[in-house]
Amino acid sequence: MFLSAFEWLLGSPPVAFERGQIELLVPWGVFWIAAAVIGALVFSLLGYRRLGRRLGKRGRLLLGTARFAAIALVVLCLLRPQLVLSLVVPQENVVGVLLDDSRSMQIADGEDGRARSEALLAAFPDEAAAGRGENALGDLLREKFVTRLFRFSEQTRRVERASELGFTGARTDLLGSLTRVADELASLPVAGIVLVSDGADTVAGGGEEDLDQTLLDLRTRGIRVYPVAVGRPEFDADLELGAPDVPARVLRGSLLEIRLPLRARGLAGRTARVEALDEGRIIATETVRLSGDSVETTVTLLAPAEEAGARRLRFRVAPFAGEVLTRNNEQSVLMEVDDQPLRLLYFEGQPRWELKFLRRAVSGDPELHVSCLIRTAEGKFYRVDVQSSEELAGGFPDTREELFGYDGVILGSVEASFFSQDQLNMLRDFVSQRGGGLLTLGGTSAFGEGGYRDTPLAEVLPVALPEVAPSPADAADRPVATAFRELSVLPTRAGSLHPVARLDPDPLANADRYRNLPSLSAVNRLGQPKPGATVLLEGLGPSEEPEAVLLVQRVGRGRSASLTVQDLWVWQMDASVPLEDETHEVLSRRLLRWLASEAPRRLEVSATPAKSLVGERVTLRARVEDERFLAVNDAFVEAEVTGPDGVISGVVLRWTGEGDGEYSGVYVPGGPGIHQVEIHAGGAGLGEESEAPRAATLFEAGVVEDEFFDAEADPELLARIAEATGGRLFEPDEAEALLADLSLAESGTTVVERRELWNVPAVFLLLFGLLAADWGVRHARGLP
Amino acid sequence: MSLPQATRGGREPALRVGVAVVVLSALGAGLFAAGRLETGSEDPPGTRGRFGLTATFRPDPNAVELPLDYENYPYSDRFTFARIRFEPPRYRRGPFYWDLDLKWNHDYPWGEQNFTRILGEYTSLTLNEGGGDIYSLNEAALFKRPFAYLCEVGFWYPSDQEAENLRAWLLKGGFLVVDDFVQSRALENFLVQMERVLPGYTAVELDVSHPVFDSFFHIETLEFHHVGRPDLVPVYYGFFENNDPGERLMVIANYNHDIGDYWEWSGNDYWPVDLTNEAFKLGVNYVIYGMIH
Repeated sequence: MFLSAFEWLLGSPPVAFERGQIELLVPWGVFWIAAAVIGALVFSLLGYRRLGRRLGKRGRLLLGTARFAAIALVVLCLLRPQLVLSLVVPQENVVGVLLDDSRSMQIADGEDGRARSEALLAAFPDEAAAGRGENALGDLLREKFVTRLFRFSEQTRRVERASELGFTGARTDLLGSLTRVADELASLPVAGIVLVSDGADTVAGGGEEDLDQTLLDLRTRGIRVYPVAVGRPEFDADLELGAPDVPARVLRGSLLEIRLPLRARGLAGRTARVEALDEGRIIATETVRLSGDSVETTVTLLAPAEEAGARRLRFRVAPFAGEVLTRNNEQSVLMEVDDQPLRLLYFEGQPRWELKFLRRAVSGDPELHVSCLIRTAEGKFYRVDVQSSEELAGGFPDTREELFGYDGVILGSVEASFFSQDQLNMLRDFVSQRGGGLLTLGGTSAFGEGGYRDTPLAEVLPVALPEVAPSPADAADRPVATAFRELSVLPTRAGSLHPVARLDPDPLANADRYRNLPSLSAVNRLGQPKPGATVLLEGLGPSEEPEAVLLVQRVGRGRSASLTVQDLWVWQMDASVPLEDETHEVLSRRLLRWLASEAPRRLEVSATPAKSLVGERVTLRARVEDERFLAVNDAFVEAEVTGPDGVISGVVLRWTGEGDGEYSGVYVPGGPGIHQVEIHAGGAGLGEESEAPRAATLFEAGVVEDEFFDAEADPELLARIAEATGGRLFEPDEAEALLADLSLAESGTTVVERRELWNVPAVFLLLFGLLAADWGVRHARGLP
Repeated sequence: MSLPQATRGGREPALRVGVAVVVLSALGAGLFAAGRLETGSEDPPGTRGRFGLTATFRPDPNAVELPLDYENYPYSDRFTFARIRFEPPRYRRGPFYWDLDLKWNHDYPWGEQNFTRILGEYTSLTLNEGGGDIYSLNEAALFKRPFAYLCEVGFWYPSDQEAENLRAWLLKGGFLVVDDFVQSRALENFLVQMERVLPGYTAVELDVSHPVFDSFFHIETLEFHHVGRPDLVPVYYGFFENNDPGERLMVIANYNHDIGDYWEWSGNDYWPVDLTNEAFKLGVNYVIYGMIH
């Protein structure tokens, strides 16, 4: 409405004024123009001077201005202003038309349940049907331009007509398509590119730099992009599960923590039941109440990983009535359940019940191997559960190769002065660089009481050590250490959700489980938890403030946990705990598994994308480290990819040159299904052939469902593309405006058109208005 | 090895001056614990019940125990030697502590006094040195002491509930040293009572290759005789978790032996130093093994 009024008043649309230049046909010198303006000003002032008394000051000013403006307008018209435009020559310019052929175009979120694809097809009817649809964009374009149609999804192909589109593309690669079409039309006079899409790009994602660079290239080539947005930016009612966050590898028997993003719109007050399935069997459920109209949350599911090997986990929420899109209510993820036991080292400075009961707790767990070293007397050590006669034969490891061979280290009650400075540094590096897990236990010679405050180890503890800790040296004559206190242990809020401390999925039942357990005791004085630490269990003792009992923290590549009590074994042994109760075993195993399960191996491999298309490049990336966990750049790394048909292909991975120890190679899946990748590395520092590190991962080809996730139309992205290239965003029903804009091209074959401006209706209306104002005032005041 | 001189005190109690811990208070504590036990667990049976045995600790309501003066150490971070008391078949006066021959009090308190000092001297253990605790099988507090010593089992007749309590204590992780019983009648009674404690379990004769004899001191031979009866051949019997000799040793019984007597008299020249040393070495190994396995 506004635009058409503008065009009527000024004879051209606003875009013409934006693009064109205004020139004066009679280029009088500045002196003459100034003289005319001053003359007009003097004339109007003189004309009203005599009437001053009857008009008053304001009236004089009003009338003077009106008359002056009228004279100035006439003078301006005499100068014959013109709008100079560069217009494309009909049928001599090419318009590239990119039509979105991806599956997201099947989404029926239009009015009356119309699919996005229908809106596209209506705008681009077949030539045979031309003229039937009024002002269809395709028809208008064909009238004035030579059109080249392309369909695009993950690939870009030339098509003759829009009806060839099947809307089955598994991805939307907006930027790639734009670049490819611009390249293809490079030798032709291009007026612009019309892009018909929902804007739901599934390739560039958050790659801001790529986006900016591509758009800058187009702008440099002078190619304007005119996006036509189809689809709605917000669905009325929809629930969507995001990509699940699971570790690529999990230890068999572990409680797997899955974080699943959930988005819901227009479903306020409803309840969503999220189910996790492994081979059709429900392994975990979680219920989410959708409190608001627009909910974005993350659901945490804890599921047991029971069977080793490649697993495909599926997640689903039953569709709600009225949901626009139901295919995004399901997600799946591939993961490897590993049965290679974790290796941990438990070092105790003295025989303690903690060690005995922890050994008993993990003895039934085939995935945990805890080698124990106990200092039974000064300089005397007892080894138990070692895997070879050499293991720990020299006492606590004093080389990185030996210590870093473990995935986790448990430090019991042993004073810091037992270790050399090198060993303390190694322990710190074990966590922060090697990425192992460190568990520190409370005890008479642990934490500050053990003299750890100013050691490198204190840097990786999840809890601060206070300045003055009482020395345990005077303990011999005291029946009870002064810091000894009993603590009733309860889970924190974070603990109720954490895979280590969650004994029951229901937070209240979980707290009750703990409440029924006997008190534990602590002897160490500790400071505040470190800022990055999470307290999972806390204890109420003699002081009013609860104190942290179990804390965890990520430090560098590794994990650090502190169990500040000295007798977790009481939860196994106490008379009040039934013989069958497994709390102590479950907690101990979970804690050790959590601690060490993510410790990187010397060879790590990943495949991206984990869900690929058939024929798409899958990049295999590996990270190779030697026995000291230092990156190796000159290793020989080879992958064997086993396809679903059992055919094995070899892929050599080469050092990327970008990061130390990082290798990559490309594999192109030839058929759909799960592909298993086995990788091995050899070379200097990587050990003998039999000990050379091996790793495995998985990816799946031909199951990409990206188009139905985050599938709401994204006009913002389209607008950004338009703005960056000098084009403009249109709706499908704005075909004529688009055409007008497209006609005012700077590139392609153009002619110059000059449009007179002195004769546009706006000038006459303005002049008339000014004169009418002058006359009206005079009449009102009774003047001649 | 040389041993510190520990002397046997006189008849007067050389222990801490004790507050009487009478039967009633022990019973009361036990009943309180039993009350807390009523809440059953929903957990599935775990590894502890692999051999099919279950047990629940409850104080025996019919138990009658003689009120005696002694004081146990409060629970702390220290290892504490625990002696198990039981109701003897009959009460007699005798040359033992409290001037009573209660069977279980033989060598008390000097045995543990001397032994814990040796333990403190030779190992890195943090412990209550110079004495030990006394618990009946009806006391919940015993479950905070996973190492215990029981002697004169020829006279030991636990009630059904006491047998069940000991079973729970053992299966949960307790380590029991049985000492000071000689001749077949005592062994027979011990085995009969153990059948009630651990039905279906068999006593396995141990040889010197078992890890318990190498847990701290490397014991070369087990051939050293009973303290006062050189004619007796000591035999070491073991009860294993899940009745599997490859698993954890839960009970070690020194049949035809009395290492507690060696400990008690270590300060005097009653017994040869060498043999006393061996008795201490066995004791230290038992504690270290019990705290690790």
